[in-house]
Amino acid sequence: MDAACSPVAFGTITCIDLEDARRVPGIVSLYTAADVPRTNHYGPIKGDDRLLAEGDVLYQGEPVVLIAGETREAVREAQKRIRIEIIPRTPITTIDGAIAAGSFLGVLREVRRGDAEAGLRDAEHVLKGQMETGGQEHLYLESQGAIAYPGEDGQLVIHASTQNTTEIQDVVAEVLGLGQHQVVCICKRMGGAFGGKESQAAPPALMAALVALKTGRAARALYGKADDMRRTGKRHPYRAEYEVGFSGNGLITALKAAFYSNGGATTDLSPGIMDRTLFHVDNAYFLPHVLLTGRICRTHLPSNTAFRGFGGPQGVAVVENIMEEIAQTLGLDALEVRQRNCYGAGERGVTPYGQAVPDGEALPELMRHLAATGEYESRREAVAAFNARSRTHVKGISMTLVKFGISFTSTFLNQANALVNVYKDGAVQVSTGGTEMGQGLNTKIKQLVADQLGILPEKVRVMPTSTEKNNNTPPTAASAGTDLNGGAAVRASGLIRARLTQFAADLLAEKNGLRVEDPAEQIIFAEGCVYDRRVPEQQIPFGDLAHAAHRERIDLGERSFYKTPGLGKDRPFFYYTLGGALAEVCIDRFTGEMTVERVDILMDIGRSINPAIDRGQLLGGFVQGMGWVTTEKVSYDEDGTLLSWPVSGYKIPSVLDLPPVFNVAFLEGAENPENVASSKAVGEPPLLLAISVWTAAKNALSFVCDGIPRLGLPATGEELLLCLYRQGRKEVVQE
Amino acid sequence: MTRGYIFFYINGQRVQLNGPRVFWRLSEFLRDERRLTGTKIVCAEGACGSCSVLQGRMEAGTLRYRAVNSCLLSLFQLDGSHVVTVEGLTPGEATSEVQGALIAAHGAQCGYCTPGFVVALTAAQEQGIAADALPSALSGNLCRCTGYLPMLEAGCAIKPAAYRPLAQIYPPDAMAADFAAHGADNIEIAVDGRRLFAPATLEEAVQIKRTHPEAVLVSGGTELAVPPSEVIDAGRALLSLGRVAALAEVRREADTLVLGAGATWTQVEAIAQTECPELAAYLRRFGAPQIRNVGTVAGSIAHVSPAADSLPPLLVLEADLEVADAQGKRLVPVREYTPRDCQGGLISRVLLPLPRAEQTLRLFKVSRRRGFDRSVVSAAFLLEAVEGRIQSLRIALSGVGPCVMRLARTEAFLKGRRLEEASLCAAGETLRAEIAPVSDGRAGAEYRGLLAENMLLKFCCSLEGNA
Repeated sequence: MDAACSPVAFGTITCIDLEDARRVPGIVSLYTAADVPRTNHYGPIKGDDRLLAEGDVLYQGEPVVLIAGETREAVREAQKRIRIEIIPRTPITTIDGAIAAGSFLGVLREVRRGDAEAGLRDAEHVLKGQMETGGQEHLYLESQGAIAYPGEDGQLVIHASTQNTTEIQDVVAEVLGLGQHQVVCICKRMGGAFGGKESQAAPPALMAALVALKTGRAARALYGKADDMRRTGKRHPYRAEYEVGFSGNGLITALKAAFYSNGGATTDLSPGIMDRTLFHVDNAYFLPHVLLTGRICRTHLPSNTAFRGFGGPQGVAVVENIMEEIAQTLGLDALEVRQRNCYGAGERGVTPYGQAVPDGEALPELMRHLAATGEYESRREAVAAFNARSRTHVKGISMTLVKFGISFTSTFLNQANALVNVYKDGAVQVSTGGTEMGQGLNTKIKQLVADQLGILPEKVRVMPTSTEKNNNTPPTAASAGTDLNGGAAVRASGLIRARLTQFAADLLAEKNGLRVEDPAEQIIFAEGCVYDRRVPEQQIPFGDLAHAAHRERIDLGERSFYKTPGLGKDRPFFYYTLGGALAEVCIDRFTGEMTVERVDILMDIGRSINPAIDRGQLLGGFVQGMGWVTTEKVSYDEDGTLLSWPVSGYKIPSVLDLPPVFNVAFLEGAENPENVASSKAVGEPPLLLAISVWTAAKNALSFVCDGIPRLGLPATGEELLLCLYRQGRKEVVQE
Repeated sequence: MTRGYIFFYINGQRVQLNGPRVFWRLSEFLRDERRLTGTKIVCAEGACGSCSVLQGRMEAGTLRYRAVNSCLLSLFQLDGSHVVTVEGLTPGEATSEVQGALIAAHGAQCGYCTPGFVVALTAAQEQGIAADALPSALSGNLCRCTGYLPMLEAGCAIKPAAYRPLAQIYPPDAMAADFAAHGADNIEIAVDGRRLFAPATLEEAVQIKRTHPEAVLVSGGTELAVPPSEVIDAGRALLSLGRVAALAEVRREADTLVLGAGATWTQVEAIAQTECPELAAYLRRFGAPQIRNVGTVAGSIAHVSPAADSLPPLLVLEADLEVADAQGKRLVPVREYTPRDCQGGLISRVLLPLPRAEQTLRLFKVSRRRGFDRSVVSAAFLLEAVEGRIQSLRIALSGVGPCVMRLARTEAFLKGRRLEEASLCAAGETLRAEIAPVSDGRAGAEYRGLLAENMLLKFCCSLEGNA
């Protein structure tokens, strides 16, 4: 099955003619908005998404007619024969257009501390600027898709490629008029998601569910990649207008910044994304007086949505750009400016939204460490010397930081539950609401549970995510999948272990006659066996213990709940994941082609549960971020037609874009005792570190440009060459 | 003789077809018909490598395996070859050496690109590719999760001695005999009003082209096959040239490279390695290995794309196209070639003069992404200079007009001038007047114009060993 979609971005539907399409052999049924049982509207925050367009169309690619057929060919043929008449209207596609038309979604959002106006008035230097950051296509390799089949008594089972099984259950029940108890959503794993399947996995799931309910047959909705690219939202493009006051040595005294995001046609997750932007403008830097505002522009594009970083990168890019501009204005080294402004102890350790940054020395120390291992000083000199010599290329070097707040800013989402079942042979099944999308969540949960029970990871199986086993779960997002679901799984397996501890103590005491005073301390679970610390040679295999416990009617299952502790108004985040990256780039002055020559990364991720997985997140996140700041340019024309599609028309990094020197390291001895296994979340933060590649480009341009280089993000070859052309000092080429 | 079916092997099993499935794409056939779902379809346009499989074809008396995109190959193109899918790499074994190395290096996250990488890494082993050439060998496979480094580490960790070659898993002799027994057949299939001709000889191909002038020529098919294809799915008669052995020849004859029309870019790159290293380096930026393994010399020329990377070097080296038709063979300078030249015939060979000792060839390609991308602008320069003066400088550019062009006026402007930056700078204005760049999804007109002008300077600096 598939949909017939709107060919225009904005317009009024005057006629939908299905007669010709109905006659196509193999077509089972066709549905329009009028056929949706209960409500055509759904959505994660505001409920303004529509399953099928009605009355008007709001973006190109918006589904209008649902087509269910026996074969792909039949559906394709029906798509051609459906006639949708639309009176087109002039769409709004850009932030400019939306501001001019006063077209916004939701309210103005604000973060303020002190008196930014006064701070700017009193500042020694004031710099005004504007920064545009582009969108980003998720390009998860597995496109959106779902299968639905009917069960008894109006029940539906939906297998969806989704980060959020609960939301699929919710919207299917809501739209089809079913109770939530009638809908089960299952997700075994995804072929990548990156935020793109947090809210926007819903349309194919809804389509399949509607058809399954109406026809009583199994239905599958699977987007082709080209359709997926045209129909779904992307990372929000942003514009920031900023004014920053600073002293003669580069210390920021005040910052005022207005952010505008291009939200697309509906609210989707845009408000949460804007909140995170405003919460990450400070990044690693103390801003005494701040006024930050955010507005979401409503345009006629597919609704932009969550993407790894969730608004954070758009905020961090602005302040890291400001660091470069202050340095270039004052003729200082940008690292020095960053160090000067870095969060410290005491009152210089509080964010604009009131949360204390713990351990005032952590960020400055991280910068020092990375500058030393990355040989910043000598390389900076080498870059300057190279630039003085070369007429064909120009190099730049830059370090940027990340201080990523871990927790959903919608506090209620910071909860999870886990079901742990120990079977009579000692093998274990674990189920949580967390979904596996390649980030290694299942492996980490398997390890955590195995550690709790002292058994080998092979004895633990993490089951497909299902709303049947775990109810009312949050999306697997905000980097918090392991923290929340791992936390619940550890608690559940810990409770089972506690029951088994007492039982094992009794069992062992019977055998060796030694009284166990403190079972939790004396009974050891390790390497698949249980024993008394004092008699290590007398071991009970874990499987035997489970079997015996079952005979004694001891409960071998547990369902546990976890909520992140301590969150509140001044503490939206449980903790911060910290890191830094040092990037060096080389730009061809004739073509604008840029190569990333070396990257050094240092991150504090607490005590890693699985270093190989965390390294994978770091490398993959950084390279994905590198795409965002270099070659990945999302573009629409003024009619709202996506130009940057299909895969051949949109350039994510390939293996040839890897920096030849790519050093990644985790801070040794780091701990995060409040969190599960003393670990820290790692999914999103590395993506933001790739901003160092962009600031390195800006640094490079500063060697050959008049004034501060005006460089957009992404810094494509085209962007770089045009900047060189417009601002480049001319004598260089013609000397 | 003529037969009405095609045959090939999948994972050692013979497949023979004569129905409408002959026109199916290999990727869909593998998944929908053979239930070999290890092959993942992502872009379905040859732009991601996820559906890569190994294709074994007879070369120098044995089966040589290369990675190809199964979404771009129609089944009729597979006649006389052996397809090995990711499932076929491990008959009866848990994992292959390549898969084991990927697992050990944590080279899979979401897993969707993984089968394609397994195939690409296996192809690299089959071809004995050295570690430093691995990035290039993997450049046709996109991954969105890992950041690629683990895949490279896996590739470097594979011990050639531990690798079990495909020839051991699939002894080639019986297949080779089968291919030889039927390789000289002509194929003619008519089904559901669609016609396919896949002759074995050039003479036969020319004859079919004469009697069926409406037939669309299919060479590598990399441009034609992108589904849904106007050509392959729309029911037009097809004349597939992939079975004509004579068209695949590549050799040096005196000072000329003789390239069979059906020679793949991989073959051309191999001969250019020794005969014209500048060309070989440039060819390594054509598409990706999976594309170069299939895409052909003549296919690229006949497609007359304004962005064709192949044309600038052919234009400055003043290659001739040999066109074969019922009257025989004639030469058409590449510069004068139009599709009309092939109305009653087909391109049979490309005669590419190699740069002479006194000539300097420089080739440049600019694309948004370094690897696996179409060019924004590509440029070719062929210089003859005497005592610091430009005797002649031939210039060809792609991406700056409706077709790939020689810049006659710029060339004339520069003739006789001193070979220095000032001369090339001065030529900028003439060049600008000669080109007509437009904006499209890949780049804006302003950027293309700047690039074109800067290419003169880049060329000049390259002579000093810079750029």
